[in-house]
Amino acid sequence: MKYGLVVDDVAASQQWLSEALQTAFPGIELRCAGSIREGLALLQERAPDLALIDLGLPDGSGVALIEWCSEQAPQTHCVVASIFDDDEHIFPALRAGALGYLLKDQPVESIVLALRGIAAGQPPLSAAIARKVLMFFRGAAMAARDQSARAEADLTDEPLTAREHEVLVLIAKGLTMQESANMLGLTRNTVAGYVKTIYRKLNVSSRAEAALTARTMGLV
Amino acid sequence: MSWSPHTVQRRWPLAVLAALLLLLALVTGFSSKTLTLGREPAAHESLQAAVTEFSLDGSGRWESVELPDAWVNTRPKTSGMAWYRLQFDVKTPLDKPALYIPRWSMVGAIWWDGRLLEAPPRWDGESPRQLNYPRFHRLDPDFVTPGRHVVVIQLKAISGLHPGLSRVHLGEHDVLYSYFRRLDLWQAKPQQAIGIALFLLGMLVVGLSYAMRDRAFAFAGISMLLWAFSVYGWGSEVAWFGGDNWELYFYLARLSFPYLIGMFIFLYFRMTWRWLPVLMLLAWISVAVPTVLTWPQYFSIASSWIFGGTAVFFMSLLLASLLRGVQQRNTEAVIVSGVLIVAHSVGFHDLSWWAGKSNFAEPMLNQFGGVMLFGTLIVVVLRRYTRIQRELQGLNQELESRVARRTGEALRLAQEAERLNQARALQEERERIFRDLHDDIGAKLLTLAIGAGSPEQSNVARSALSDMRMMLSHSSQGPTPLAFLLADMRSEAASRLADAGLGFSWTAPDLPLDDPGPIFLPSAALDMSRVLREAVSNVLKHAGAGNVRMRVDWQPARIDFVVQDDGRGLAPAAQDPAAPAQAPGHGRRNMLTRVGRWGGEVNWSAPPEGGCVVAWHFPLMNICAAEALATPATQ
Repeated sequence: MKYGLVVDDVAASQQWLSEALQTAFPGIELRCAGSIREGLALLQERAPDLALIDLGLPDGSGVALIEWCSEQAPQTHCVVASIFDDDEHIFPALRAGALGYLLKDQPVESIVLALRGIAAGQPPLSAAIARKVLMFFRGAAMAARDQSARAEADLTDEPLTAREHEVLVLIAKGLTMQESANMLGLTRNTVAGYVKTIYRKLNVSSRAEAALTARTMGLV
Repeated sequence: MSWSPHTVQRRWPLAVLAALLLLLALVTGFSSKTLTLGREPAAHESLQAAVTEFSLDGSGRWESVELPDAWVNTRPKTSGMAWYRLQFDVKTPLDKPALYIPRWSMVGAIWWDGRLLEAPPRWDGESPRQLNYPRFHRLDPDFVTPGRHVVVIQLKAISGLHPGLSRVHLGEHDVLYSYFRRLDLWQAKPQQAIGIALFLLGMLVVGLSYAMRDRAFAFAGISMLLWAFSVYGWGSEVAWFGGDNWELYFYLARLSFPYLIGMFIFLYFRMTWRWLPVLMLLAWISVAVPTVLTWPQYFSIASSWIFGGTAVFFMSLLLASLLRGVQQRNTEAVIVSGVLIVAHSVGFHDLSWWAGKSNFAEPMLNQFGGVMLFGTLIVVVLRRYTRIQRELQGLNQELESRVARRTGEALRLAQEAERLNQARALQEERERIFRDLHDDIGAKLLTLAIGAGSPEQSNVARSALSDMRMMLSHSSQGPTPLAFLLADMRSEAASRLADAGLGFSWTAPDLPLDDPGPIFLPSAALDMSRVLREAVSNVLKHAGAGNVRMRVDWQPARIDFVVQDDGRGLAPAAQDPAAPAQAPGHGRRNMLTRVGRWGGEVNWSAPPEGGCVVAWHFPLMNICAAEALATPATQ
């Protein structure tokens, strides 16, 4: 991690996150933005390795920035830093392509640990999110079954593997990633890998939808 | 052929018994073998012929005969004219002489001493009238002088049918006329009255076909109208309809009767022989067309051959439907078929009577068969009509009660919708307040947490922020099922304890995610999470424990939580649950408040093996969303 971006409208919070980033990745180059407009300008200027993005920004939701990154700068790790932890905030962010979700009121040590974890490919996943993800794939599976005869069926969501499904169910039932790993006889890193794949598939599905829409609109 | 199963089945043996009694009365009532239509005067009131002779075809060969000549089959079976010659010996002159014949049959003419008293308009144009009329003639006193007088009566019949003549009375006008008038009043008119009554009933039944939208009634009604038409026509002294062919039309009307009644039976009892109406129509045509074409010369041939065949067809049909009705215990079918058979049998009787094959009862029983039949039909039809009316009333009442029930339901639903609307508005308002709180207060709390001078202040700010977030998330989620709530609680507790490096075990009902157990009120779910959170916080802050065991039990009436640690145990004051408010920690007081609010209890205890146990429970009755109470799965 050489270059990081912090987008937050609260100055204290901005500074605090910057400190956490510098602790986690010593020597990292940092830029800060207080709004979507500023953040977008910085992003366009140069895509960072890691972006910490608050969702409640004065000119809209940080999800827009995550979406921009997913489209224009896929190498950027987008991580949400928010004080919201409800599904209505978490889920759209993940669908937009966020690889992590941090609560800003955690002790700074936790934040630092989590930031290192994300960089190491260990994204967090809460039980509530796991349930929502399960529902999402179940709905997609049903839709795919309904539309199986259609030619664009191959464009619909990539289904979960049995292992990914197991991981999701355990987490949805409230187990931590470590516990799930113990239960499945895997390492924590492997489980984290599954979670990452799940996030990717979740994100891919929306891109597939976008591609489908673009095709039907005659754009591609 | 089959009867529709929805026809009524009721006390049919009684109905059959009644029909038999009716038949018996009819037969005995008309079994008098008299030719008298009008009443006969007493013996002393009139003068009888001294000599009565009969000659067939006016051959000039006279033979003696007794009056009444009652159509006994003693005559050769030839058609044409028959002559009666009566000789009266008048002893004393009569003031107002008159000739009274209570009954004659067929077409006839009378001469008094060679003077014509009455003759038909034509001898050859009409078929023989199968009816019987009384005759009454005033005579000129000058012609009725003492001495012998000859009365010649000529009657016409055609092959197979024979004329008949009652006694002939000569006497005073005033005496004989009273019998003739009585006859006029009591005998001739009632037949026409029957015709009129049948006509009105027929109209009623035709009306029913419109009222009940059932074509069966139209067929029954029209057949009654036609029957009434023929009865009225034959009961008339004068041909008032149809000119020279008047009898043909009346006859055709009666010929159509079996077909129409057959159609009525077919439709009314919903018979399933599809080709039956066609057969009946063919039978009707095979009778009606030859009758029209050969009228009047071959009338008798038609009656003996074609009519016989179709009569057998209809009779077989009726017998089949009668048997079927008995098999299926269908009262209506048995009654209607039975009465039709009786009516037709009466017709056979008449035919054989006129053909000279039988000498039982009167020759025109079929008139009464018709009355009997139509009377029965009316009863049956009205019975079904009233039954349908009753059913309709019943249906109507049921419909009304259903409408009332549905209306009540709709009102309740509307109230429910209104209540939900209000609840939704309340929820939206609450969420808006939370959002505002979050946006305005959240940022400030975060700033406080980050920039606090001491770790304690920072912790308070963090805790406030976390509380606010929980309130927000649970209040915006709506009712939460047990499995989801437990998952979230477990996940949070596990992360916190793991982060602090404590060992953790969790025992709880393992509910499938697609059948996640009872559903809790959002506010109750919030309190349940908060209580566990508080318990975990207490362990982290005060216990100095290395391991924490948590247990959740779901029972039909309550849900139990136990948190046990292996730390340093309880401070003495905290063991007294009576004084929780004085306990130093806000945490415990908070727990008591939140559990107590839902009718539950919290207990702290120190087990002998050390550490601390805190147990609490919530009564399900209070924390579940309405009608979401469920029983625990087998654990």
